[in-house]
Formats: sequence, structure tokens, C-alpha cells
Amino acid sequence: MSYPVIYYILGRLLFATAVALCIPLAASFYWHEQSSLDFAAAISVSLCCSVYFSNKGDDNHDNISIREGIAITGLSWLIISFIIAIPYLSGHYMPPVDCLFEGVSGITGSGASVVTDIPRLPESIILWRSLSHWLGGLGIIVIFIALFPQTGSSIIKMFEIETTGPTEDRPMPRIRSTAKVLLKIYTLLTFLLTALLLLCGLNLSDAVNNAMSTIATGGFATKNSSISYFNNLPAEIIIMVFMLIGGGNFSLYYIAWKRGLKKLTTNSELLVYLGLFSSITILITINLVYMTNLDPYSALRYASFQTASVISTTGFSTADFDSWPAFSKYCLLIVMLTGGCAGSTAGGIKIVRVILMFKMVSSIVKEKLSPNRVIHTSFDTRERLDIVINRVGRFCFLYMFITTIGAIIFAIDGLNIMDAIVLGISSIGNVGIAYGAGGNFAQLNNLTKLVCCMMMIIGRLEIFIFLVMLRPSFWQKGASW
Amino acid sequence: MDRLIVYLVGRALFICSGLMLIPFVLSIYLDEFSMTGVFGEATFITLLAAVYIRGHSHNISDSLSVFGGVAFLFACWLSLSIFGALPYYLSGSLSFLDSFVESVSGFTTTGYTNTPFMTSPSLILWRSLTQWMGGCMVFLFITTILPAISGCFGMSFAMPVALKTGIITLSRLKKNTRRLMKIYFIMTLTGFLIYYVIDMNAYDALNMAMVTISTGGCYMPDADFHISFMFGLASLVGLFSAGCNIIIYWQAIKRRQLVMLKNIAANTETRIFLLMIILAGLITSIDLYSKGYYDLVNSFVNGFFQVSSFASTTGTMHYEMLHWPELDKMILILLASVGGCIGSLAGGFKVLRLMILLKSCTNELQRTIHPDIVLHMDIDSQAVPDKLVNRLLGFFFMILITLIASILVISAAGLNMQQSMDIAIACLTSTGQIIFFHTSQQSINELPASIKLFCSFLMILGKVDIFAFLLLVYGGRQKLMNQRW
Repeated sequence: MSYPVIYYILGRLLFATAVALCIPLAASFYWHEQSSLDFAAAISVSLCCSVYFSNKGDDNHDNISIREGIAITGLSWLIISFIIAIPYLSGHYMPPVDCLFEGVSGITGSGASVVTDIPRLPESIILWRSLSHWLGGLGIIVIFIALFPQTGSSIIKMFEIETTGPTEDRPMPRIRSTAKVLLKIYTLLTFLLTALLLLCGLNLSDAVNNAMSTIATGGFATKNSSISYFNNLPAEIIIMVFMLIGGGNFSLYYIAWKRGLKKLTTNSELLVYLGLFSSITILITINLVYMTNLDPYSALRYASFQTASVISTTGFSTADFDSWPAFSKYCLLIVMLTGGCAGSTAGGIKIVRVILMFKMVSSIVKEKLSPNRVIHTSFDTRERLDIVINRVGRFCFLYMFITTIGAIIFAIDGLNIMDAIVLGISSIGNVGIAYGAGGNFAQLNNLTKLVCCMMMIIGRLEIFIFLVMLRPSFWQKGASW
Repeated sequence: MDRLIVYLVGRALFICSGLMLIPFVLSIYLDEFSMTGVFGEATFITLLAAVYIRGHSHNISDSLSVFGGVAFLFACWLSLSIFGALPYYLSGSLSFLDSFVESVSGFTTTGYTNTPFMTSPSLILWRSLTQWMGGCMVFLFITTILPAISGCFGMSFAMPVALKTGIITLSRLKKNTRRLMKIYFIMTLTGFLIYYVIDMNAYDALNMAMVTISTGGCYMPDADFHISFMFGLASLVGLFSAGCNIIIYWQAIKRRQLVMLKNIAANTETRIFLLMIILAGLITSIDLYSKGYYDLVNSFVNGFFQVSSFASTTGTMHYEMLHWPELDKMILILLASVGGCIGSLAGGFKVLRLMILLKSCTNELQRTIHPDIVLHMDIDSQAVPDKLVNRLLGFFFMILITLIASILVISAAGLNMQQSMDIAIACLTSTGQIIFFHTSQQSINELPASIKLFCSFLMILGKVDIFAFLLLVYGGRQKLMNQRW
């Protein structure tokens, strides 16, 4: 482990965060809000840390090993979560643990908010919440690589650690151009969504905030009653479509744009993703029509929006899903587990992993019935999947294991069983909505909130990275082979 | 259809009718003439069916294929459950569907019951007998048929070489049955004696011994039953021994070396199982004590008793615990989902599998830092093949999907989330008591018939593994496709 490199890059990342903080600062000046001081405080803390780390650091990072890559990515997520919480803290908008919760929930794209009365917050703070989604959605590192020139080939490791899911499609041969392309698409989609929302009649600040929150599949809303406040069908449909887009593979969009739309229709992950979305929507609609007294049209409206919101792990809501029948709630829980596609901004296990697991099971069955048969697993155009599949299997196992441990802690802290389990699944999947007492984030105990923060970061960094960092041997100096 | 399957089912029905004679005799002894008639009829019908089936199974082959083995498992449980339901139905206390569910839950050692509380003793004895026979069947299948089917999920790993062979032959079935019955009888007798010594009457002690050894757990000694210290200790020993790897006992008897029994103590799996029970027991007892449910001694006795009862997926009936705090219920549900050691009568995921998966995950962490590393894993100085880890991962996923799918189906009946989860876990892990954690008997009785049937199916699935079912479906489809139409 070579610490100077880590310090160097962390220093630059913190500088970048300070730059990002200038956006809400400027906004607060523009709106003449008190919160400008809070942002100034955050900027100064961020700059101080940046200077400190830069002084300790060393630019010689031509040979970052995976170890350093993991350390940089993991630490930057932890530190930036704290930096994001500073404006909330310095403005006394909420108690300290809540600030951290809001910060982590923002950067990981969960969207679980402890703010009980959102319109009371200054506009610039609301903007900062959405901006934290937007930065965390694509990944801090990806944006960093795209915007700040980095020398050395080893940056690829940091990139791979941060992107979600086991994906190999990289649209460009060079990692920097890949990051740039991703950022370009991401920005473009955000602008497009903002424009569309403006057309639907939302005001500028709502449109910008919701657009950032939607594309990053975050879920911080600008109103207390989330999207249902607007009661605007076109806006709902547009947000729904963009949530689904946010849950899809961004590299794939670029490839499809360059080489034709056929690439989209032959991608089995995307097809399964959309298929799952539509089947769950239909199931919930039928269930709602039969079990509650909703008419089919509004049942479909609520069901499709809520399913899109959960499958892309956004967490917006237009209906009171907590009072839906158990069947619908379980349907939502299933998509909460699967999440979106690999390479998206969504959380969860990821569709591609679920597909691979199904392939694994079917190969085991075939093997048992005809023991001497050689079974060949392939997925789309990829082959030699053995190691990948094993890793995916362990990921699924650990995902459920950590969820269970989290749920036990929540139960010890006083939640009842189902609420604890759903809160666990929701936190690790970065979804941002939960049922029952767990869904009311502001009322949770401090221990529960802190464990939720942990789980959100574990979920966003896809488990292994975080667990590796917990091993003491990981941090040993000099051992870098 | 394989002739051998028919033959074996016939034999199972013979044994079933033989067992029905026991409550028949008891009812004569107790002068319950209505029940005498009921059991007489039931025995007669079962015997008739058995004789008919035997008459139609000539020139049988002497070995079963994997597919045949799976088919036999399902056929065996299904036919036994249908005939085992006769006494409940004929006695008039339950409808046929409810009797069937009752009987399935008995034979799968789930231990969910729907019979009226103060029903006749002979019917209750029959309920305990079905559980006992169910345990016996699981025991028998573990050493004969299951290794060939789902042995690849860690069971053959934990087994001695002699049992690893894949082919299921009739002579092996016969040979093993005799030996296994011996162990099973000894275990039951020991249980009976222990219960008898700590002042229980013979009837209660017999029932208790049968339901604890088989991990069924559906028996209430009498209306106001308190877990006294000695009683708790006795059942704890019984439950723990039922949750341990039975193959070790089997080996000890086979080689006439009781020294082998010390292997149990040296086995990492057993130790972890014990550790799990102690940890969960401590949490539960402290929670019970701190929330003021019992005094200190009673919280520990109750806590540890229920924890070991659920860890071995027995789920002993005890109405007091239905009012326990949510945390304790959650711990009990989790323990039941993990289940006992591999090769035990208990249901659930099994400790060894969890152990291997967790260990392989720590290996995977190493791989994260060193992507091309070749790692080796062993348990009790026995190398764990990569193939096994791979299959276990698949198995875990299968269980997860089954659980989610079954919860979804059950929730369609209009129960709330917690209730549907309870029922699904209870059926899949064969721990019937979990059903009553958040649901009243009333609302279960009101469930639609389709859901009740689905639950019975889940109970059977929990005993023969989801993998066996997949084999049945996949193999059946292949058979259909290969047939010349």
C-alpha cells in the first residue's frame, strides 16, 4: 500500500468537491439566502482537507495497484459523504446523525430523507441535496476522471471498482474517453429531462432538482408528498420513463447511439429489465383492482410509476404504497432486490446477476441429470463465465447475509420483523423507500440510522470493496504485490 | 412409471397401515369405540391399497435412476399423506382437505396442527406417530436416496465414502432400513426414558419422545404446561441430538465403535451449531429477562429451550411464546431458516452450507485484491472442491427464489406481509409453530383451499429439496419430449 498516492488523489477529489460546492453557493447568493455561509463553511473544510492531503501526497501514481484503487474509491466515498453533510450541519437544519444520514443517502443515490418539511429548507440546500444525488449517481470517480486530467493507466482500476455490476461493455478503448462519454450522456439526459419537465409546467427549480434526482435514480423530492404533489400526468410519465432510463446501462446507450438501435433490442439484460418491469406492473395493477377500490386506470398509473421508481431504486412515490395489499408490496420488494441493470445509476443486486444465477441453476440441474455432459454457459456474447458466475453467486449470498445482519440490528433497535427486513433491503439496495415504521426515516433511532448509512455505502460500493477495506491486512504498508 | 417406485410405495403403505394399528389398540384399551371404528376402517383401507399396489408390481428392476428416485420421494410422501389423512377425516373432526394438510404436516415433521385441542388421545397418538414416521423416512432417505439426488449440495461432502455411491438399489434400501430403524428406536427409547424419569406419565413421555426425536414438535403434554428446568434440559438434549449429523451415529453403529461418537464433538459443524444456539439463546434469554417476561432462571430455560427447538426446526408447541417480543421471534425464524446440521432430520438451509459459503466469501475478498489468486479451502482438514462451492451458491439462490415465490403466492390470499412470510418459512423449513407467530388459527382456517394445498406442497418441497423438484420438472419434460407420439 502506497499512501502518498492515495493522499494525492484524495486531495484532488476534495478540491473537486469544493468546486462542486460552489454551485449551490452561487445559487444561494443569487437567491439571497442565509445558507451561503453553510456552503462557505463546507468549501473551506473541503479545501483545508484538500491542501492537507495534497501536501502529504505524491504525484507519482503510475503504478496504482488494485489495493490503492480500492482504498481511494472507498475512502473518497466515506469522506465525501461527510463533506456533503457539512452544509446541513452548519445550518442546524437537523441533528448531526440526521445530517450524516441525509449526506450518505444523497451521495449513494438512496433518497431516504429525514427531512420532515422540505419546503422549509432554503432553495440552495434543496439544490445541494439533488446535486449530491447527481454526483453520486454516475460515480464521483467517473466524473472526476472525465473532468480532471489523470496520467497513468492505473486509473482504470478505480473506474472498474466504482461502476455498478459486472459489466464489460466499455464504449471506448480508453478509460478517460469512456468516462467522458458517460458523463456526456448523463448530462445530456439531465438537460433533456429538465426541458421536458419545464414543458409540463413545473417551475425551474422543481424541474432541475427532480431531473437530477431522477437521472441519478436518487429520490430526493422537492415537495413533502414527493411527485404526487404536482398531480401532473405528463410529468409523471416523463419521470417514469427517465427513471427507467436511469436504471439501464449507460454504456449501452452510447453503443446503441453509435452502432444503431439494434444493440438495444439484442441486449438480454435490458429486455429482462423491461420485461420484469412490465410484468410486475401488471401484477400490481391486477392486485390493486381486485383488492382495493381503485379503478383500473389509476391502478395502472400508480402501479407503473411505483414499479419504475422501485426497480430503478429511485424512491419517488405518487401513491400511498404502504397501504397497498401485501401481494403488491411483495412485488415491489422483489424489484427492490433485483434493482436495475449493470452500469446504471441504480442499486440492488442488478438484473445481469440474477440472469447469471438462473443460468447457474439450470446448468446444475442439467449436470445432475446427465452427469458426463459438459455444460457451457454463455451470456450474450461473453464466454468463460465460471469465475464471474462464482463471484456473482457470492455477491448474492453476501447481499442477503448483510441484509439479514442489518435487519437483526434494526430489530434489536426496536423495529418489528417485516419493517426491519424491508428497511435492510431498501438500505443496501439504495432504494429510499421502506414500509411501516421503517419507512418513516425521520423517526428512526440513531443506531438504526447509522447502520442504514453503513449499508447504503456497502450497497453502493457493491459489498466486496467495502469488506476488503475492513481487513487489517489491507492497510499494511509496503505490501503491494 | 418405474415398477420399483410402485413397489416401494406399496411397502410404505404397509408400514403405514401397521402403524395405524397402534392407535387402534390404544382406542380399544381406552374404550373409545368410535375411534376404534375409525382406525379400523383406516387400517383396512390402507392395507387394501397396499395389497392392490403390491399385486401390480411384478418383475421389478433392482435399482432406481436419479429421476426415479425423485419421483419416488414425491410419490411416497403424497400417498402416505393421503392415506394418513383417513383417520382425521373419518373421525369427522376435520374436512378432507384439512385432514390432508394435517397429515402432510405430520409426515413432513412440520408439526402444524388444526385438530381440536381436547380431541381423543388415540388421534393425538396418531398425529405423533405420523411425525415419528416422517422423521424415520427422512432419516432413511438421507442415507439412501437423497445422496444420489441432492448429495452434491454438501451432503456427500459430509458423508463417509461408503454412502457416496450414486445408484439407489433395492438391496441397499433393505439393508439400510433395518440398521436405521435400530438407531431410530434406540433414540426414541432413550428420549422416552428421559421424559419418563422426570415425572411425566407414559403416554405424554411417549408422545413427547416421538415428536422431539423426529423434529416434528406438535404435541402438548397437557393444558397448563410449564417448562420446568429438568423438562427443558431433557428436551434440549433430544432436540440437539436430532439437529446433529445423524450419519455420525449411523457410522458408530455400523462399525460397532462407539468411540466414533466423539467425532461429533470434533466436528466443526456441530460446534458452530452449538455456538449458534448458545449465542441466540443468550440474546433471547437476556431480551426476555430485560423486558420482564420471566424471572432470571425461567428466561434462560425458556429462551434456550425455544432456541434449540427452533434451531432443530422442531418448533415445540407453547402458547406463551406467541406473546414474546418481535426480536425473539425474528431470531427464532432465522434459526429455523438456517436449520440443523447437514445429514440431520431438521429442515432449513443447514449449517454446513452456510459455513462453506461464508468461508468462500472470505476467499473471494482475497480475490478482489489479487484477481488471479488460486485459493484452497478446507473444512475439518477435508478439501472443499470448487464444484461444491459453485453448486451451493446455486442452491442458495434456488432457496431464495423458492422462498420469494412462495411468499408471493401466499400473500395473494390477502394475508399481510408478515403473515405470508411466516407461513412460507414455516412450511419450507418444516417448523410449523412459526405459522402462529402473527396469525391466528382462525385466519388460517379461513384460507382458500388452493393456498392450503400450496402450503402442503411447500412442506413436501422443504423435505425433498427444491432441487429435487427441479429435477422432476426438467426430467419429466425431457421424458415427454423423448417419447414417440
